[in-house]
Amino acid sequence: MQSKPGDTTVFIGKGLGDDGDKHFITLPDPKTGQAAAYLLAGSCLQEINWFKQQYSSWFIGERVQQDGGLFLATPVDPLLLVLPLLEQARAQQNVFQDLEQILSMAASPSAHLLAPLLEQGGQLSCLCDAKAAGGQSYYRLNDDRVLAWLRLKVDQAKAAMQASPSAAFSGMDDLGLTAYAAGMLGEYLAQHWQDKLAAALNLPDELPAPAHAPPPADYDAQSSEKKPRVDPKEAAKAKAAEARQAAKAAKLAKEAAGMRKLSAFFKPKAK
Amino acid sequence: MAEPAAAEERPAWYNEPCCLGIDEAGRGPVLGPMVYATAWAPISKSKELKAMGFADSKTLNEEKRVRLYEAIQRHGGLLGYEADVLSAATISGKMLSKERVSLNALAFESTCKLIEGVLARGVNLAEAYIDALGDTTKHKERLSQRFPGVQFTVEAKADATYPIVSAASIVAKVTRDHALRDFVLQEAAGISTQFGSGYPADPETKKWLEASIDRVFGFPSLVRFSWSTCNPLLEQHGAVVKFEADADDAPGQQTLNFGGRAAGSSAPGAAAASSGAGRHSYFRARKMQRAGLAF
Repeated sequence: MQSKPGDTTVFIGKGLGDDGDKHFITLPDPKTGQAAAYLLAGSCLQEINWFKQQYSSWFIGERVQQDGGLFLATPVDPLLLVLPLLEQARAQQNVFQDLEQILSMAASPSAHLLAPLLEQGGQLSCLCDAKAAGGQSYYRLNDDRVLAWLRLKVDQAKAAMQASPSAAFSGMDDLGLTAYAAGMLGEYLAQHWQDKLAAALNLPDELPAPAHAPPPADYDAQSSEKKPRVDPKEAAKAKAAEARQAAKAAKLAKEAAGMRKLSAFFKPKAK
Repeated sequence: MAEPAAAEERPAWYNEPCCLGIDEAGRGPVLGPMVYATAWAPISKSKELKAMGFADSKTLNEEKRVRLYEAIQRHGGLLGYEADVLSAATISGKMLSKERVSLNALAFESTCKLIEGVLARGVNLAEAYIDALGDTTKHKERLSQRFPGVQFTVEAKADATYPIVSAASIVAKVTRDHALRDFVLQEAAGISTQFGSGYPADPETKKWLEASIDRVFGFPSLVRFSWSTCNPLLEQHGAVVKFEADADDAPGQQTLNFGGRAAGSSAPGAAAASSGAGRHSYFRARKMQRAGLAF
């Protein structure tokens, strides 16, 4: 990042306040394959997001920082990161391999830091067949397990959304919610896995118009979505249709509210 | 039958036919509160009231006013009084709000509030004398409609004619003087209290106004910033504010490659705003952008 020494960055993430180890590690993004930075802290792998509103600054202690942006690290399932590595390992040699070998597929000096996280609790068995020999564990990717695991993740995501007090999910019917959760998971999956998942969930290519329009996100999204979104990737069509409908509904709701310019609240009316 | 004791002991003379007067203080100044006040007394005691020395409040100097105020306070057996203080902040806020409440409307509301207060105390109100500016006939009509059974007299300079109004006028003025004197400027120390008469035409007041402006926060809470004097001063001395809600949709919304690196443009830290473009609608709606190689 082109920051100068002495710049302050506002960064929120799990475990950052603790004494434990914190590392930035580079791993290939599971969807695009491009190298991306992740945070390992609080025994948790986290992806790094950036958020900034146009007119915003920070009060930090006694001073003002003009750049009002904020980095937000959010937990991400390390198995999603390791899935493409397992595929690569299997493609190279269709045999059981140990974790070190698998992580080396990342071609990243820091990937090995993931090992302790993955070794816990037999996690890799979610995706793999596992064998133990001489005190070492060996893994080979099992597609059926992966699909079952992905479906489980969609269910978990749906349950979390339904339990959420947030209004963003309350208007969706089951099909919509499934498509939404699968779409969100698809952010972390290569295209072929997205397609397999969509098929396994019986998601139609085009979602029918929902019974009620999906409500806008909690965060009052200012309408910057007027331009048609160009989605260059061959994303799951269900996800794209859903997203378009959500944005349209949000925009309609805002226009219908008849918002006034903020400055209108402060000018004295002409006498 | 024993009546339940009221919070304040209700004097017996409330049962006699009474009159009340209403006057205000501090309508014109740009600083401090506007105070509406009422005083009430039994009609039978009009002579005693006059003998106390109530007259046109403008002929009374501060010392006389204070003495009369003290006399009013002591005369629970003859006079009741009440004040309604409308702070500068209230006035400014209401006058500039989305549903603009004019100063006249505020005045009318305050008048009614005071009359209602007197009636609620169980005073046998027969007559009311109101000092008012502008259309006194309309004012009288509105009040008569609101309070049938009360004989209203609405006149300009009523405080010179009717002692009960003069008493109210004194209560209003002294209350306002106290409010100004005791006003603790919550804003930064270093703002002087030498603000002159408080009228917008007074050069000393104007000088004080200019000196008291903060570039970001504007005027101290003593100031009625709805007054027309204030706007040009703010434009001159205040910082310009750009509101995001008024800006056109950001013309520079970058389409970013997934992974967070804007093609050919500067790092996330310098961009105008984050965009969730290219991501699932959950992230797009929340404008969460991936910071790919930032670290």
